[in-house]
Amino acid sequence: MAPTLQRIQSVVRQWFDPNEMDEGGHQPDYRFSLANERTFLAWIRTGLALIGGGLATAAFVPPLHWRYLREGTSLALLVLGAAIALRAVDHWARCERAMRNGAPLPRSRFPAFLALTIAAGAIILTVLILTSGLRS
Amino acid sequence: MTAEHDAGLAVERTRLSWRRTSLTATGVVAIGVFRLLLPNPGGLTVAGVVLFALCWLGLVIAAQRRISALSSAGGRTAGLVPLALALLVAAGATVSLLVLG
Repeated sequence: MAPTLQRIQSVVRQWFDPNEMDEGGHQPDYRFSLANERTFLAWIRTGLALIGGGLATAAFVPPLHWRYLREGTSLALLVLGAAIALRAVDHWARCERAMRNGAPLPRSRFPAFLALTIAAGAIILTVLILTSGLRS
Repeated sequence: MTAEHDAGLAVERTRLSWRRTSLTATGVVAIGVFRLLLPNPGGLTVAGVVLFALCWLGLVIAAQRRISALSSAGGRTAGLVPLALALLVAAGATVSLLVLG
């Protein structure tokens, strides 16, 4: 438990302390830093798109045959969007640090997890809607 | 293509990327506000709109700061701006969860 807590602390400190990020290693070619920043922004937009989808589901989709399907879909999209945003800043900071230290870029299972989640969600929704019809 | 030319484009692309992100955020906030006003404005409507507006304002200010920093001194690191942006997006999602619940 204690090592986990320490790890969380150091991760959060890394987010909040840009000076710490500027220490150690050497400044990478700033074009790489800018590319890292753009990748971060692309993830943020992905998160925003899911959040927008969640809000649009709540706003425009009529109540569905399955009682909490609409609410559940909206909830899942919002939570996923927030998770993507938080993970994006963590990944950005870790990439920045890896570039400073000349280390390999951090590898992540998150894209695979996200792809599988979205695909599974889409398939489940398709099946439910096809089997029940749109309106209750 | 000279090195300077390439560097200039990297800064330009990053600036546009921030612009695109704040435009996306504006669209998402618009959907959220629309959702609040749509069926019939309730007790949570005013609070929700205010919270959405605060998140949106923070996002746009953060993006604008980064855009002007990039315009003036191209090579500077982003510092805390990405963290602020990510936290604001997460806060916006939380507000959405609260007002939908």
